[in-house]
Amino acid sequence: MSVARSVTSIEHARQAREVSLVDLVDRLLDGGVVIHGDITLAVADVDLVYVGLRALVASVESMEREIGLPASLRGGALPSGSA
Amino acid sequence: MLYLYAIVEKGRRLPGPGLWGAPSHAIEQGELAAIVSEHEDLARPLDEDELWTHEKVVEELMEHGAVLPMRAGSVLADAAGVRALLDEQRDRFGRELERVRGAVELGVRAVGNPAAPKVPAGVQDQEGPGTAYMRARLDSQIRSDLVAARVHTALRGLARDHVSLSKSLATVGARSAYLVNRDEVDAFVDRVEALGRELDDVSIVCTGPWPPYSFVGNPA
Repeated sequence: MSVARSVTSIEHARQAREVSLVDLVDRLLDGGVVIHGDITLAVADVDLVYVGLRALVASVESMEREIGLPASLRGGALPSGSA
Repeated sequence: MLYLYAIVEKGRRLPGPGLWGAPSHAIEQGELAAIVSEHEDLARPLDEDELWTHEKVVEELMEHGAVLPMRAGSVLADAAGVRALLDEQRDRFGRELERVRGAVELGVRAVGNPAAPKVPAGVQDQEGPGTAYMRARLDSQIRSDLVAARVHTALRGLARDHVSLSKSLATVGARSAYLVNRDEVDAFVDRVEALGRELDDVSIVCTGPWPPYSFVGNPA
Protein backbone atom coordinates (compact mmCIF):
# COMPACT_ATOMS: atom_id res chain seq x y z
CA MET A 1 0.00 0.00 0.00
CA SER A 2 2.95 2.31 0.38
CA VAL A 3 5.80 3.27 -1.86
CA ALA A 4 9.31 3.99 -0.70
CA ARG A 5 11.41 6.02 -3.06
CA SER A 6 15.11 6.66 -2.75
CA VAL A 7 16.04 9.99 -4.14
CA THR A 8 18.26 11.80 -6.43
CA SER A 9 21.51 12.55 -4.70
CA ILE A 10 24.17 10.40 -3.17
CA GLU A 11 23.67 12.04 0.21
CA HIS A 12 19.98 11.22 0.26
CA ALA A 13 20.74 7.72 -0.89
CA ARG A 14 23.03 7.23 2.06
CA GLN A 15 20.33 8.42 4.43
CA ALA A 16 17.96 5.81 3.05
CA ARG A 17 20.70 3.28 3.43
CA GLU A 18 18.68 0.29 4.53
CA VAL A 19 17.17 0.18 1.11
CA SER A 20 19.98 1.68 -0.89
CA LEU A 21 22.94 -0.32 0.39
CA VAL A 22 21.57 -3.57 -0.98
CA ASP A 23 20.59 -1.86 -4.22
CA LEU A 24 24.01 -0.22 -4.44
CA VAL A 25 25.92 -3.43 -3.83
CA ASP A 26 23.75 -5.34 -6.30
CA ARG A 27 24.59 -2.83 -8.99
CA LEU A 28 28.25 -2.22 -8.28
CA LEU A 29 29.15 -5.87 -7.79
CA ASP A 30 26.82 -7.57 -10.28
CA GLY A 31 26.37 -4.82 -12.84
CA GLY A 32 28.60 -2.41 -14.70
CA VAL A 33 31.16 -2.99 -17.39
CA VAL A 34 33.38 -5.98 -16.68
CA ILE A 35 36.90 -6.13 -18.05
CA HIS A 36 38.05 -9.67 -18.59
CA GLY A 37 37.28 -12.46 -20.95
CA ASP A 38 38.14 -12.19 -24.57
CA ILE A 39 39.69 -8.76 -24.56
CA THR A 40 42.98 -8.91 -26.40
CA LEU A 41 45.36 -6.28 -25.10
CA ALA A 42 47.47 -4.89 -27.89
CA VAL A 43 50.39 -3.88 -25.70
CA ALA A 44 52.78 -6.45 -24.34
CA ASP A 45 53.61 -6.62 -20.63
CA VAL A 46 50.28 -5.22 -19.52
CA ASP A 47 48.76 -7.19 -16.68
CA LEU A 48 45.03 -7.32 -16.25
CA VAL A 49 44.79 -7.11 -12.52
CA TYR A 50 41.86 -8.56 -10.67
CA VAL A 51 42.48 -7.05 -7.32
CA GLY A 52 38.77 -6.52 -7.60
CA LEU A 53 38.02 -10.15 -6.85
CA ARG A 54 39.31 -10.03 -3.30
CA ALA A 55 37.77 -6.60 -2.91
CA LEU A 56 34.41 -7.95 -4.02
CA VAL A 57 34.52 -10.80 -1.52
CA ALA A 58 35.44 -8.43 1.27
CA SER A 59 32.62 -6.09 0.30
CA VAL A 60 30.05 -8.85 0.22
CA GLU A 61 31.18 -10.05 3.63
CA SER A 62 30.81 -6.54 4.98
CA MET A 63 27.31 -6.46 3.61
CA GLU A 64 26.45 -9.83 5.10
CA ARG A 65 27.57 -8.60 8.51
CA GLU A 66 25.56 -5.44 8.02
CA ILE A 67 22.32 -7.29 7.39
CA GLY A 68 22.94 -9.67 10.28
CA LEU A 69 23.51 -12.87 8.35
CA PRO A 70 24.68 -15.58 10.78
CA ALA A 71 28.40 -16.26 10.50
CA SER A 72 27.74 -19.85 9.41
CA LEU A 73 25.94 -18.58 6.31
CA ARG A 74 28.44 -15.98 5.20
CA GLY A 75 30.81 -16.55 2.32
CA GLY A 76 34.23 -17.95 3.15
CA ALA A 77 37.44 -15.98 2.88
CA LEU A 78 39.83 -16.52 0.02
CA PRO A 79 42.78 -18.75 0.88
CA SER A 80 45.76 -16.69 1.94
CA GLY A 81 48.20 -15.98 -0.81
CA SER A 82 45.66 -15.95 -3.61
CA ALA A 83 45.46 -12.85 -5.81
CA MET B 1 47.61 0.97 -10.82
CA LEU B 2 44.49 2.51 -12.22
CA TYR B 3 41.07 2.08 -10.70
CA LEU B 4 38.34 2.52 -13.31
CA TYR B 5 35.02 4.23 -12.60
CA ALA B 6 33.35 4.63 -15.96
CA ILE B 7 33.68 4.97 -19.70
CA VAL B 8 32.45 8.15 -21.35
CA GLU B 9 33.00 10.19 -24.48
CA LYS B 10 36.22 12.18 -24.41
CA GLY B 11 36.23 15.80 -23.33
CA ARG B 12 33.91 15.19 -20.41
CA ARG B 13 34.20 17.40 -17.32
CA LEU B 14 36.18 15.54 -14.67
CA PRO B 15 34.37 14.48 -11.51
CA GLY B 16 35.66 15.06 -7.99
CA PRO B 17 38.12 12.81 -6.16
CA GLY B 18 37.71 9.07 -6.19
CA LEU B 19 38.71 6.29 -3.84
CA TRP B 20 40.62 7.39 -0.78
CA GLY B 21 40.72 10.94 -2.05
CA ALA B 22 42.78 10.18 -5.12
CA PRO B 23 42.10 12.66 -7.94
CA SER B 24 40.20 11.37 -10.92
CA HIS B 25 41.50 11.85 -14.42
CA ALA B 26 40.66 10.80 -17.95
CA ILE B 27 42.59 8.49 -20.23
CA GLU B 28 41.51 9.04 -23.80
CA GLN B 29 41.62 6.82 -26.83
CA GLY B 30 39.76 7.59 -30.03
CA GLU B 31 36.43 9.13 -29.17
CA LEU B 32 36.28 7.55 -25.73
CA ALA B 33 37.74 8.19 -22.30
CA ALA B 34 38.05 6.08 -19.20
CA ILE B 35 37.74 7.92 -15.90
CA VAL B 36 40.30 6.54 -13.46
CA SER B 37 42.24 7.26 -10.32
CA GLU B 38 45.80 6.21 -9.75
CA HIS B 39 46.99 4.27 -6.73
CA GLU B 40 50.29 2.91 -5.48
CA ASP B 41 48.65 -0.31 -4.50
CA LEU B 42 45.11 -1.60 -4.30
CA ALA B 43 45.56 -4.59 -2.03
CA ARG B 44 43.12 -3.33 0.57
CA PRO B 45 39.51 -4.38 0.17
CA LEU B 46 36.80 -2.00 -0.91
CA ASP B 47 34.68 -1.07 2.06
CA GLU B 48 31.18 0.34 1.92
CA ASP B 49 32.63 3.85 1.84
CA GLU B 50 34.57 3.03 -1.29
CA LEU B 51 31.48 1.69 -3.01
CA TRP B 52 29.65 4.93 -2.24
CA THR B 53 32.63 6.91 -3.54
CA HIS B 54 32.64 4.86 -6.74
CA GLU B 55 28.94 5.54 -7.10
CA LYS B 56 29.39 9.25 -6.41
CA VAL B 57 32.02 9.59 -9.14
CA VAL B 58 29.82 7.80 -11.65
CA GLU B 59 26.77 9.89 -10.72
CA GLU B 60 28.75 13.11 -11.17
CA LEU B 61 29.70 11.96 -14.65
CA MET B 62 26.11 11.07 -15.40
CA GLU B 63 25.03 14.65 -14.72
CA HIS B 64 26.84 15.75 -17.86
CA GLY B 65 26.20 13.00 -20.36
CA ALA B 66 26.01 9.32 -21.16
CA VAL B 67 28.11 7.08 -18.95
CA LEU B 68 28.97 3.38 -18.87
CA PRO B 69 29.60 2.58 -15.21
CA MET B 70 32.36 0.10 -14.43
CA ARG B 71 31.78 -2.75 -12.05
CA ALA B 72 33.38 -1.89 -8.71
CA GLY B 73 36.88 -3.29 -8.35
CA SER B 74 37.95 -2.87 -11.97
CA VAL B 75 41.66 -2.22 -12.10
CA LEU B 76 44.22 -2.04 -14.88
CA ALA B 77 47.97 -1.83 -14.51
CA ASP B 78 48.61 1.31 -16.54
CA ALA B 79 47.39 3.81 -19.10
CA ALA B 80 48.49 1.61 -21.98
CA GLY B 81 46.15 -1.08 -20.77
CA VAL B 82 43.30 1.39 -20.52
CA ARG B 83 43.87 2.65 -24.06
CA ALA B 84 44.02 -0.90 -25.33
CA LEU B 85 40.66 -1.58 -23.67
CA LEU B 86 39.09 1.51 -25.21
CA ASP B 87 40.51 0.68 -28.61
CA GLU B 88 39.56 -2.99 -28.53
CA GLN B 89 36.01 -2.35 -27.36
CA ARG B 90 35.32 0.94 -29.12
CA ASP B 91 32.40 -0.35 -31.19
CA ARG B 92 30.75 -2.01 -28.25
CA PHE B 93 31.22 1.00 -25.95
CA GLY B 94 29.95 3.31 -28.68
CA ARG B 95 26.78 1.24 -29.07
CA GLU B 96 26.23 1.09 -25.33
CA LEU B 97 26.65 4.82 -24.88
CA GLU B 98 23.95 5.33 -27.48
CA ARG B 99 21.79 2.77 -25.74
CA VAL B 100 21.83 4.65 -22.44
CA ARG B 101 22.15 8.25 -23.59
CA GLY B 102 19.55 10.49 -21.97
CA ALA B 103 18.23 7.77 -19.67
CA VAL B 104 18.70 6.63 -16.09
CA GLU B 105 18.15 3.34 -14.33
CA LEU B 106 15.32 2.90 -11.87
CA GLY B 107 15.08 -0.16 -9.67
CA VAL B 108 11.69 -1.62 -8.85
CA ARG B 109 11.10 -4.20 -6.18
CA ALA B 110 7.88 -5.66 -4.80
CA VAL B 111 8.02 -6.36 -1.10
CA GLY B 112 5.64 -8.40 1.01
CA ASN B 113 3.30 -11.33 0.57
CA PRO B 114 0.08 -10.80 -1.32
CA ALA B 115 -2.91 -12.02 0.70
CA ALA B 116 -3.53 -15.74 0.42
CA PRO B 117 -6.81 -16.94 -1.01
CA LYS B 118 -8.78 -19.19 1.32
CA VAL B 119 -8.36 -22.91 0.73
CA PRO B 120 -11.67 -24.80 0.84
CA ALA B 121 -11.96 -26.68 4.16
CA GLY B 122 -12.46 -30.07 2.53
CA VAL B 123 -9.29 -29.78 0.53
CA GLN B 124 -7.31 -28.82 3.61
CA ASP B 125 -8.55 -31.83 5.57
CA GLN B 126 -7.39 -34.23 2.90
CA GLU B 127 -3.89 -32.84 2.68
CA GLY B 128 -0.99 -33.98 4.80
CA PRO B 129 1.18 -31.30 6.35
CA GLY B 130 3.87 -31.75 3.73
CA THR B 131 1.41 -31.25 0.91
CA ALA B 132 -0.08 -28.24 2.63
CA TYR B 133 3.38 -26.74 2.99
CA MET B 134 4.21 -27.29 -0.63
CA ARG B 135 0.89 -25.86 -1.68
CA ALA B 136 1.50 -22.77 0.41
CA ARG B 137 4.93 -22.36 -1.15
CA LEU B 138 3.49 -22.76 -4.61
CA ASP B 139 0.66 -20.35 -3.88
CA SER B 140 3.14 -17.82 -2.58
CA GLN B 141 5.31 -18.18 -5.65
CA ILE B 142 2.35 -17.91 -7.98
CA ARG B 143 1.08 -14.82 -6.19
CA SER B 144 4.56 -13.27 -6.33
CA ASP B 145 4.78 -14.05 -10.02
CA LEU B 146 1.37 -12.52 -10.62
CA VAL B 147 2.36 -9.36 -8.77
CA ALA B 148 5.60 -9.24 -10.72
CA ALA B 149 3.75 -9.66 -14.01
CA ARG B 150 1.25 -6.99 -13.12
CA VAL B 151 3.91 -4.53 -12.07
CA HIS B 152 5.95 -5.18 -15.17
CA THR B 153 2.99 -4.90 -17.51
CA ALA B 154 2.20 -1.51 -16.02
CA LEU B 155 5.74 -0.18 -16.25
CA ARG B 156 7.30 -1.60 -19.38
CA GLY B 157 5.60 0.91 -21.66
CA LEU B 158 7.08 3.78 -19.67
CA ALA B 159 10.66 2.63 -20.08
CA ARG B 160 13.14 2.37 -22.90
CA ASP B 161 14.30 -1.01 -21.73
CA HIS B 162 14.11 -3.34 -18.75
CA VAL B 163 15.87 -6.29 -17.21
CA SER B 164 14.97 -8.72 -14.48
CA LEU B 165 17.41 -8.78 -11.59
CA SER B 166 15.83 -11.55 -9.54
CA LYS B 167 18.17 -14.46 -9.23
CA SER B 168 18.49 -15.26 -5.56
CA LEU B 169 16.30 -18.00 -4.09
CA ALA B 170 15.93 -15.80 -1.03
CA THR B 171 14.44 -12.94 -3.01
CA VAL B 172 10.75 -12.37 -2.59
CA GLY B 173 8.89 -10.71 -5.35
CA ALA B 174 9.96 -8.94 -8.46
CA ARG B 175 13.27 -7.16 -8.73
CA SER B 176 13.69 -5.35 -11.96
CA ALA B 177 15.64 -2.51 -13.45
CA TYR B 178 14.14 -0.09 -15.95
CA LEU B 179 15.98 2.23 -18.31
CA VAL B 180 13.88 5.38 -18.33
CA ASN B 181 14.28 8.58 -20.30
CA ARG B 182 15.26 11.39 -17.95
CA ASP B 183 12.22 13.46 -18.80
CA GLU B 184 9.91 10.47 -18.19
CA VAL B 185 11.16 9.58 -14.71
CA ASP B 186 8.38 11.49 -12.96
CA ALA B 187 5.68 9.74 -14.97
CA PHE B 188 7.32 6.39 -14.20
CA VAL B 189 7.49 7.04 -10.47
CA ASP B 190 3.88 8.29 -10.49
CA ARG B 191 2.85 4.98 -12.02
CA VAL B 192 4.81 3.05 -9.41
CA GLU B 193 3.04 4.95 -6.67
CA ALA B 194 -0.34 4.24 -8.26
CA LEU B 195 0.52 0.55 -8.40
CA GLY B 196 1.41 0.61 -4.73
CA ARG B 197 -2.03 1.96 -3.94
CA GLU B 198 -3.74 -0.63 -6.16
CA LEU B 199 -2.03 -3.67 -4.65
CA ASP B 200 -3.02 -4.93 -1.22
CA ASP B 201 -0.35 -6.14 1.17
CA VAL B 202 2.41 -5.39 -1.30
CA SER B 203 4.74 -2.41 -1.26
CA ILE B 204 6.49 -1.32 -4.41
CA VAL B 205 9.92 0.10 -3.77
CA CYS B 206 11.41 2.28 -6.48
CA THR B 207 15.04 3.28 -6.15
CA GLY B 208 17.21 5.57 -8.21
CA PRO B 209 17.98 7.29 -10.42
CA TRP B 210 21.00 5.06 -10.84
CA PRO B 211 23.64 5.08 -13.53
CA PRO B 212 22.81 2.28 -15.97
CA TYR B 213 24.77 -0.54 -14.28
CA SER B 214 22.19 -3.10 -15.37
CA PHE B 215 22.18 -2.05 -19.01
CA VAL B 216 25.80 -2.46 -19.99
CA GLY B 217 26.50 -5.80 -21.60
CA ASN B 218 29.64 -7.79 -21.05
CA PRO B 219 31.84 -10.07 -23.11
CA ALA B 220 30.79 -13.69 -22.93
